[in-house]
Amino acid sequence: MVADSLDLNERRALGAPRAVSAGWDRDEAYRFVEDLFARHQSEIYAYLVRMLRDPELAADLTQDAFVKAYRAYDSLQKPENARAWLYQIAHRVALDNLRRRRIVRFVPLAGEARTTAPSAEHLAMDLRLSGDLERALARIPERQRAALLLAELHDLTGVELAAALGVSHVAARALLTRARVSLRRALAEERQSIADAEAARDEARREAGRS
Amino acid sequence: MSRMIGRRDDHDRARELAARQVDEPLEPGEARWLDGHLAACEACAAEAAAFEADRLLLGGLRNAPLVPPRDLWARTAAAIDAERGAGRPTGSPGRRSWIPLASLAPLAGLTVVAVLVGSTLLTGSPAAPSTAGVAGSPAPFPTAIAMRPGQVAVVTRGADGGLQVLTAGVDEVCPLVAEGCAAAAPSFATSPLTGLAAGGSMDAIISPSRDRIVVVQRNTSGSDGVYVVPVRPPTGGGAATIPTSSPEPGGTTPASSGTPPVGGSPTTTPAGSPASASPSAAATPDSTTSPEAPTDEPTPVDGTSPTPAVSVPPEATPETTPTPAPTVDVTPAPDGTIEIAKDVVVVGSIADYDASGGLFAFTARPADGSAGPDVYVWDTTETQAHRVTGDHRSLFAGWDGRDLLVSRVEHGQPRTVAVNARTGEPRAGAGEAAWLPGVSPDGSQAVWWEGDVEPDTDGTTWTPTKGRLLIGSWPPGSGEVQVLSRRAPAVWQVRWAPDGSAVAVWTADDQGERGALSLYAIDPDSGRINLSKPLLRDEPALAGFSLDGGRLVYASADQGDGHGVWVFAWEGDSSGRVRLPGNAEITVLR
Repeated sequence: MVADSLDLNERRALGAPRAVSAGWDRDEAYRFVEDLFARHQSEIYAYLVRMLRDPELAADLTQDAFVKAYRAYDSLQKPENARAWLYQIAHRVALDNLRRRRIVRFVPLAGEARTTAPSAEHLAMDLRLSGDLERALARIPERQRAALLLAELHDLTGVELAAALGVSHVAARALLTRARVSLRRALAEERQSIADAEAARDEARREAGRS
Repeated sequence: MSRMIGRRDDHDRARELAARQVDEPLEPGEARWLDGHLAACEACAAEAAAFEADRLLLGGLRNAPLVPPRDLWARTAAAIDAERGAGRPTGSPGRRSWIPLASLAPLAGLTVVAVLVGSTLLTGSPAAPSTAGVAGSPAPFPTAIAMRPGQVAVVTRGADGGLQVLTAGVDEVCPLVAEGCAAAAPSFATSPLTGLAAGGSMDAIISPSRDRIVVVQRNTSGSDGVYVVPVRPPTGGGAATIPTSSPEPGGTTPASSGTPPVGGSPTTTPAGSPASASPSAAATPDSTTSPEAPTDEPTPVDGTSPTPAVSVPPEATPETTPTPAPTVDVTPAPDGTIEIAKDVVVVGSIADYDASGGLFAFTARPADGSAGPDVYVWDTTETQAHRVTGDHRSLFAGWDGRDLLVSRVEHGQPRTVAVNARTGEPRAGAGEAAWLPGVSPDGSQAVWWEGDVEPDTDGTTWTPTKGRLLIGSWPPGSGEVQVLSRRAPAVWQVRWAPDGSAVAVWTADDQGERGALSLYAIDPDSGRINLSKPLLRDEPALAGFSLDGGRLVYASADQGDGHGVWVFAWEGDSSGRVRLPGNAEITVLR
């Protein structure tokens, strides 16, 4: 289904009118995707890792994205748009997956699935091990996270960003602004929780030292 | 107090502008205001600086490269090869087959349609109030929501005037409040129902084993009947979309006669519905890595492999002649159509298969008005329906396991009794003080009317007057109940999700087919519904809708933007719907 909506968005955002496709050359499509993969696999994979926070899943979804690109080959009108088009596919793949997993979204990422409450010591360690930025990113809404990553880390231009996100240019900008505000708040909270955890650890040590 | 709120608003505005300024220059007025605010607010100035710092921090992630697995291309290439090997269709939608109905047929390619023909429901009704529509309050980020792939199937009249089944995969919907959200429009595969007089239908029901469809159809002619008809494989071109221009009612030309089109072309693309969009759905709904079906083909509902639909005339005795008696009549036409009942009028709005799919029940009365309604059961291994009640005042309410639930008025009071579906023998007990209960698949819950009913003006059925439409523990008195409505609907239809996780209730104020549809999730722990937060509330809808796990498909009458078919889907905490353009003669296949 990504291919279909992609086609919609492709036409809307990248302004490429779709010609009637007379045929569909599989070999040409295969070579095209092979080349696309060689150029972009690392960045697509990196994007999906940061969106999903799961390297194995990200690898699966990278594969998925390129297969979809192969399938949707005839929806790409301008080769110069291929990268944004590919990001659009990857973005849809990521969101589809996140939505399927939504029910488990609130499972804490650090020290998950503990049956007992984590010790203050352990919590402080967890917090340091995974960077506060990565954790803050994980906390903000998925589409905001996507906007930030694509704009800041993957250098998509405004038009490309809108195309990849499948929204209008104005909406993409607004999403980016909201993402910056959300990240700011999340980062501040992450840092506060680190400070709190370290304070609790110090307090626990003092208690232990006293007894 | 207001001063503090005003200041808080200022800080919010400053935060928003400072964040925006990272990506684009502000308007001169905005920039001046921000500078002024930051000069006066130390915390705000710090925050504005932090936006830039965050940007550097994000850029720092580049220094931690993430390397994909080395075998990733090998895996990807293999997946593409598999796709290439499978063959990527380049031609018309549904080239291979229209799959969902045929592929699941245990009868090896035999797909059968039974059509109950009665009086018109689809024409001449007053317009429903225009309260529906995806465009509620605009949401800033309209994005289609991916959903577990599923089939949408409708029965409608094609441009040539003949009835046809259209099927497509839909796996995207839009948030309820989104505006301008573009979910991919599916492309429909078309299967003509040949040999049938075209016309509106009030219900189309696919058997649980998915090997045959019953279309409950009514027309104005008064020549009523029940047919069994083989379904043909999709026609060559198929229809990219549902035809939106409805042929004039009354043009009851059999599709098989090959008469020229009387309406719009089925391949005409309605505005806003891209012709290029096509159904494609993951064959394994939950797997994100499994290759999706090639984009121009519908996907089997249950992931079974496609089997081409083959038209096989049902077993029938060709020389059987029609009899004037109600029902029970086998008349195969040269194209394989069998008329299994005639000279009846379908009564009420309830008709359904039992859980096994081996029996189909409905209520009908003689067309000449010589008797009141009785319950008819069609054993699908036979070629005719049987009347199982003989009191001429029985209405089919639904199935309770293997028993028929039959509602009757006894001593002025509505009662529902369980009846053996083959013999018509009532089960032990006095029955329940309930009218037309729709019982859940596990038999533990139901939706029913508790209260008074009165004979209809034509004396063939009864209509609720004073009482309550209830949902709760079945049978009545066995547990808790909740009140769905204190208004008396004239007719209603109840569908439970197969797993009992949701129930959809359609009600209408007259005997027509325009009504309101609500959808409730059942709390798995309490068994209750949240009445204040239905998944859908009173959506204008036509009779006949389908409900399965996480998906409700219904049709709506024209509300200014044409007739439509709606797919409402929910999963976890996300939900949404998509509207497919339809026409005036459309019935959702359930």
